Amino acid sequence: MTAYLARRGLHAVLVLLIVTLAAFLLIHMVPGDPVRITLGAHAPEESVQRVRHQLGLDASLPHQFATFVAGLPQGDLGTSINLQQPVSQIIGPRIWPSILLLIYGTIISLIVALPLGIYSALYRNRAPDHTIRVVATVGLAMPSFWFGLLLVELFSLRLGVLPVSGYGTGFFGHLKSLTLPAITVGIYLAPLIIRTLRSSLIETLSADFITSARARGFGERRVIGKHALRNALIATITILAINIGYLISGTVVIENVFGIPGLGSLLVSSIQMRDFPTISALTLVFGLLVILVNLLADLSYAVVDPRIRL
Amino acid sequence: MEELDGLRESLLEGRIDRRTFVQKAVALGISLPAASILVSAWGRGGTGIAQAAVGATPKRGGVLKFARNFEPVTLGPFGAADNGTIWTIMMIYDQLVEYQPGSLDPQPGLAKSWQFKDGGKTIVFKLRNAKFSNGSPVTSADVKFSLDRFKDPKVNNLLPFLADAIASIEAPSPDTIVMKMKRVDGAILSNLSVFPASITPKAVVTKMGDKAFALDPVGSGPFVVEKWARGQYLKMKRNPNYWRAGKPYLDGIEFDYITNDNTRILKLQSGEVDVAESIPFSQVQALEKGNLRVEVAPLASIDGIWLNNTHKPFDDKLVRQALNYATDKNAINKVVYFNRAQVANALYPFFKYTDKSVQNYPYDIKKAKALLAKSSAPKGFDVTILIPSEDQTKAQMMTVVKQLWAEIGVNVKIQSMETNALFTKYMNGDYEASDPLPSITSDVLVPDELALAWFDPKGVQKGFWSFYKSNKAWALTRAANGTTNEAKRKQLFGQLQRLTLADAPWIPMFFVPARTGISSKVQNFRTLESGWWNLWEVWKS
Repeated sequence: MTAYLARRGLHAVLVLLIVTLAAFLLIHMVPGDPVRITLGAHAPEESVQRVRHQLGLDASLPHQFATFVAGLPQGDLGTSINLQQPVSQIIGPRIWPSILLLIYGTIISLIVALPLGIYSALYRNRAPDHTIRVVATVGLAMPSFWFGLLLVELFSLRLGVLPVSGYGTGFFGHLKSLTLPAITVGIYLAPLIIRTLRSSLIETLSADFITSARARGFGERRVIGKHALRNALIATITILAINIGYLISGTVVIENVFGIPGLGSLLVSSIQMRDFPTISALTLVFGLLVILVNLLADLSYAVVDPRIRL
Repeated sequence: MEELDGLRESLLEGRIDRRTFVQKAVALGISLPAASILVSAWGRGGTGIAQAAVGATPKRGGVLKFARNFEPVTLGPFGAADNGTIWTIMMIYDQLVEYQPGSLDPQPGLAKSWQFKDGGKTIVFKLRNAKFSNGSPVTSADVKFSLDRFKDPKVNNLLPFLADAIASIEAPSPDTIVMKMKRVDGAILSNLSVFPASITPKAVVTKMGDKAFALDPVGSGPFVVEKWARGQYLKMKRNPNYWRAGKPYLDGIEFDYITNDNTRILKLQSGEVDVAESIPFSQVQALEKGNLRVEVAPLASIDGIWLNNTHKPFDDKLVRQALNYATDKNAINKVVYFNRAQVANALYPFFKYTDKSVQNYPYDIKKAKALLAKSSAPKGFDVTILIPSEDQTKAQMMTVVKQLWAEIGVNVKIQSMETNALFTKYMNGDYEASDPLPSITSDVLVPDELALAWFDPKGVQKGFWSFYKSNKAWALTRAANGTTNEAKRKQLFGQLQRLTLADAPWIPMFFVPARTGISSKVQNFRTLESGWWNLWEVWKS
């Protein structure tokens, strides 16, 4: 287990470095000068040059990247070009809204998708299965921002029970404000889970050990719940973990629509402002998030399926 | 005429705009000219301008919740020059002179009076009794400190050229400032009203340093920063020491930062905010019902198509004029702006000295064809117009332009690019034609700033990167800027307006107004021509 974690850790550091380097190079390839953007069209060229020098932006790209990486072990993520504050101070308070939204959205998608996926598999190729599959396909195809606006129209404007946007105050305020965005995230994710769970459950249900379980006279509830579902869940967890990156990119849009002060909305504004250090740091955080979730998924296989040893 | 009285009230309270008023008045059997006269008598400039019900006494208290599109980058006066920052800073700090609703001239701010001496080479300001939000008095030492920084291009990275004509600032007594000029600057008062000329407390800034001060600023303006949660909101409370007695009426303001247009509108409709800025033109009319209205207010802002005068065939004035004639501004205004923009009659935004008798090129296909036939591109040509990809309005506008120009044999390709990538390309002169920025605005309401920046043949902006050069335009700009004689300035700027429009270096199209959605609870709200708002006079009923 320890050796496994060490190997994964080393692997993670490498991946993170490569991802950050790629993001760093990509954003520098896009034209646009962060200093000119901040100072405005009227600022004289001398001002722009002076500020560029003060921020070290006139140094070579390898030097700038090396400076960024050298600061990382001390937790120094650099200083934002536009906001003139340490990046860690800017990112810190914005991690929680994003993580809360991801968790909340995943929980909602599981609440919706688990029963539907099981139901669909049990009634394979019959009316309930077809209905669920059609609904899931529509859900997958629907643009999330549009669905979000529909929810707002209903729950905020007509019923007036949930806020249109924002993050609220206090834990329950956050939950209330994040409910509509989380439903939007959940609806985006649920079809994927339904489809994966359905197909892997169908596969498992035709396996010999299910037949033998049934032959031993176990109730259908026990056969499905304990024997079939546990096996089918592995594929579902894998799909969830693989899609975390997809989900994070989805929250970028959703955070903007719902005005949530998370990492996604920060990423959008940082890219618009060409705030190189913040973009690099955010890439690092997102990369870390993806790696951690995948690690958790791998660890959870062992919990779900006792045959797996890490 | 009871109905007419009702209409009048609706107009005065801003529940209907001027166009709706005229339509309804005509429906009541009043002739169109008569309705237009009524509207100019009863309505003020612009459409749907906020008016407190006549005789109502302002009520004190309450927090104004304001959904904004743009978040500030910093709260210090020298960090950034975007409208998110500037319009917020204006609520925190005062300047010596300030723009006020209903005037294109700066009014007394921290200076209660001033006097020009030596033919404009010396200006003596008398300061009023005012205090910073921390309770300490605003003295001439603070003013000197702040304006010396305004003048120092190493501190004032943003607009140092606005202070270029100032030689020195002296503080002979606690309530007197004597400003010596290197040369006469006809726009000096306007220049002293801009955000980098904000007056800050010397002791606090020196002690905290600029970076810390920008996060926890102290000014003498109507509001004080209470809490700034980046990406979310900025809460401000009333400055108890504000010098305008009894103001602000509001206990505070909460700016909520919401970049999505639809979400901002939904926030307003659900009553979670009282005011929402940047309402898309297409949604203005739909919002104007129930307890909401939309203020469409004139702004010092210009929209059009800039042409690269060094690129063939735009080096030919006949071609540029032909395109001006071929561009039907009224049609575009109708389709894209729902007739709410004003057709520009100058190359730069609407200002104090703008000669209203000057007309933009009328739509005239025959003339356009004739000019093109005589030009260096008689058979027409292909042109790529660059526009910012985030801007739906510009995309619609260029689609109409494409159709219009096709009629004279000009084949338009529209290319959209991310705003900042586009602007970098644009500043490098790497374009043929472009509407390069979401909005082009002026910091002052006199033409000096933009004329000096754009028409200086040795300047950085080179005709706002159209590479237009005119010695005559530059001489007129210098002459107009070099006098404090109002009549002379008006006359010279009028000449400049006519000359540059005739040279047609680009295609000016509209003065684009601000659109602000406002709940009926909000009284006396007004957007100034400079872009920000009179929030110290606003109250909630």
